[in-house]
Amino acid sequence: MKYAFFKGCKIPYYLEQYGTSTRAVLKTFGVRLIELNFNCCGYPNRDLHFESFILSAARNMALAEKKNLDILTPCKCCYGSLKHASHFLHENEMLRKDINAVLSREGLAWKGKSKVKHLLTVLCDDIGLPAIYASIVKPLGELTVAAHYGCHALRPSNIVHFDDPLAPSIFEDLIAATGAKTVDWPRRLDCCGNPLWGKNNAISLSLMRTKVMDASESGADCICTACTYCQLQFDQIQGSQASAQNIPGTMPAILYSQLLGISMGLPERLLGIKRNIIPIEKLK
Amino acid sequence: MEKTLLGSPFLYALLYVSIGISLAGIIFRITRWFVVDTGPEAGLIPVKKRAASVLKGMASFVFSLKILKMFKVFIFEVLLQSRILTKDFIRWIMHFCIFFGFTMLLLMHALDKIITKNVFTDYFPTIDPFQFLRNLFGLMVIFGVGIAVYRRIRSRGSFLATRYADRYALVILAVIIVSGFLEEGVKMISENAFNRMVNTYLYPDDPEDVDALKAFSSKQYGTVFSSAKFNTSPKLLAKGEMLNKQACASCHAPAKTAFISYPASRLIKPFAVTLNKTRADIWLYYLHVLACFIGLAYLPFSKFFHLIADPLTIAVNGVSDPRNVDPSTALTRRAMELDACTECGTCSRYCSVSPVFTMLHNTEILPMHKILTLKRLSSGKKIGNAQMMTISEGAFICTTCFKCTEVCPAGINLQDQWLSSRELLSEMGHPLPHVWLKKFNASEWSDRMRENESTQNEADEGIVRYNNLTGDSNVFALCIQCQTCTNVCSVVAARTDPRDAVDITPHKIMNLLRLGLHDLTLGSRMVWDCVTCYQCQENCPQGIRVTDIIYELKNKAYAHFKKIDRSAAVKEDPC
Repeated sequence: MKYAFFKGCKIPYYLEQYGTSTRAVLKTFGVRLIELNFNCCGYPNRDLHFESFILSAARNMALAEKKNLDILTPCKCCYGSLKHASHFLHENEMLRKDINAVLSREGLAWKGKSKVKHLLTVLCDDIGLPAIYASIVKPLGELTVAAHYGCHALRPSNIVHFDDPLAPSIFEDLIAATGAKTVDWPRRLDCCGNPLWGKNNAISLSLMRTKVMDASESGADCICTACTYCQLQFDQIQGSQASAQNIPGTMPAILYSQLLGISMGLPERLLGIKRNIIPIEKLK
Repeated sequence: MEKTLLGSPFLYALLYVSIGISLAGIIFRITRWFVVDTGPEAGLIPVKKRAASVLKGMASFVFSLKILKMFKVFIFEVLLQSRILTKDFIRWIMHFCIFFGFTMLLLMHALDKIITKNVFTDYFPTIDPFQFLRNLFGLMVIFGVGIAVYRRIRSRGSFLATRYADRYALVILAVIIVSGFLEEGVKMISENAFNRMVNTYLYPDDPEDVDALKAFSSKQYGTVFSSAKFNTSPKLLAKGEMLNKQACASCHAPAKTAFISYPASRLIKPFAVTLNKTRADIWLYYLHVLACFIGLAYLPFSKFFHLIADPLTIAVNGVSDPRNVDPSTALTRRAMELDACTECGTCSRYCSVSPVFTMLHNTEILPMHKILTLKRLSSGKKIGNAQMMTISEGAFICTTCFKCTEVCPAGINLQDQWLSSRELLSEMGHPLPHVWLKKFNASEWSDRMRENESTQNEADEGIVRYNNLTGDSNVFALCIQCQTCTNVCSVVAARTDPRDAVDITPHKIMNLLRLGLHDLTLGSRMVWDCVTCYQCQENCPQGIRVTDIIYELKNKAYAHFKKIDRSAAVKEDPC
């Protein structure tokens, strides 16, 4: 299996461990990840200018198309953005024409041939749960995990086609494979709050704290994420807030690629668990 | 060997003046690094403290193992320019030819009395390999300059802007090298030069000797004599060859090894007599040397200053962690980095948001232009409000993806420049749109929009081209005001503080659209505090694209509001 690896903008500087742990995990399943000269997925700019968002996303998909590769992204916002753009380009001929006219200046074209997949979909559908179960050498039986779905991969379901938008199970299934227990928590499908970080921090933090409290009350040891932004919110932002304001009751967060990596016995050098700000007591 | 600078006191004076200007300029520019304001910490840290922390940093570095890393950085990144090589091979060839060629000419040729003579005791500029190498290095520089000119003509545009400084740098290099080649070429065919040499080094036994040497020189070196009163018989030539071997050859390699100057001398041969009469060898020498002096004196104020700023930047950033910036030395480092930028445009070519630039045409989105703007900002120049809004747009569209920092050939920590300049812009009253939009409430924005009525339709045009969810009643007329959207909205739920409560809720937005009151929704907190989690859209029993509508409203609001002067006061309603 071979994919174009769409890291998105935040991994290289803010969350390197997500890139390295994803690579490490997928490598053991024989998945090759190719890096292309991708640009921003367009998501941050969708607020301001529709065409800029579409062109950004379309250029990425066109780059992958040129190499005959499907795209794999570990970020749910990138995933949602590429899926949305793909949908708009499919249904709107005028938009497609205009965007392709711009892309043709650098010898690119969007034809919609490259599929966009999220890391979790690739693990669950392409690699398959049996293969994942077989790869586990160190089951995490002690750990209770709250799966945080992330909005942009899940909704709107008619565009992103990720899982059942009201009762998804893919994430819990994948976590169960590592041997960890999952909890059913009321807020599991809610927003982490990161889209408003830097824009309206009060709401951003309030959304995050509601979720953290809910996960904690539901008996989870940590939140598991599979999105760059969600992880930044629950780990780095929660961590910095906790130390700045001395708020007790923080809830650590771990990336799914890290969780799976631990249970597969992969080295810390690649997983970067120690780079997470808030440590998980049971994993120490 | 000729005397240095022809022994001319005038040229000596000029040499010292240009060295003086150059040194003073370099000191001036380096001092500026400790003074100019380059970030949010500016003004908080006094100059003395800035200088002290830089010295402290340097001292702790010298006594650490990092010095080994510095050695590696110096060899690969400074001397071999690996940062350029990995990104653009043609550009590396160009840069390396100019850098290596010119450095070697400086060390071997310009400073021959100081360096070459002491290393090679039998050094003489007109013997091989020196004559050959001089031509080779000169050719390298010319070749590099040629590629540079070609690149600048070929890929003109936003990614490679050619300014006065670039032209000056290329012209001065070309003048120095071309005048050098011409001077060498002219000397070869010059009768004056021949006579000077004969008078000094030939002790003729026979009056025919001079003629014999002339004949040989004319054939071998192409020297042109205005009065050729001799018959070039084979016998005379043979004699000339012998005399040449005795008196000249020990200091003069065959002209052909000067593989550029010699063909050049063939080309100018038809004008040899005139050139000789006008003493072209002298004035070309003056031109060559003066061009070097001008280049030297102007170095600190020109693009050539990157010869100093870039190695320093590469070295400093090569041994420090780009993620953990030390705030006490950051201001100084940033100022140095601004001087290190040569506007090569590599960052812009790799920029993650360059497609956004393609659509919005705001050059302030591109990193190379942003660095130029930071230079202007740090020099304290007044920038108008409208321009500041454009700058702020670009600064906040950047996704801080770190790509430009990774590719910058000068090793500039661009990431830190962007993060600090954003902080600075926010302090100056130009934060990101979601924040400046809070300056007025929804109805104040709507009032302002009405004042700018003429711009409204124009702004909408671009938006409704592909989608018109907010203008098409079929999209939202289905709303039955059941409030499901509002009930599932986590932002509505999160804003429980009455001072900060949402002004309108999603179902009210639908209602305002049905009433045709779009303008009241555009500046609303609900629209701009939406987290786009798509709960409302997913749960709407009528299948209304609520989140997509909110996205479109944001787009419309942005297009309208960025045309409105945010600093002007709201006009009071007379009623």
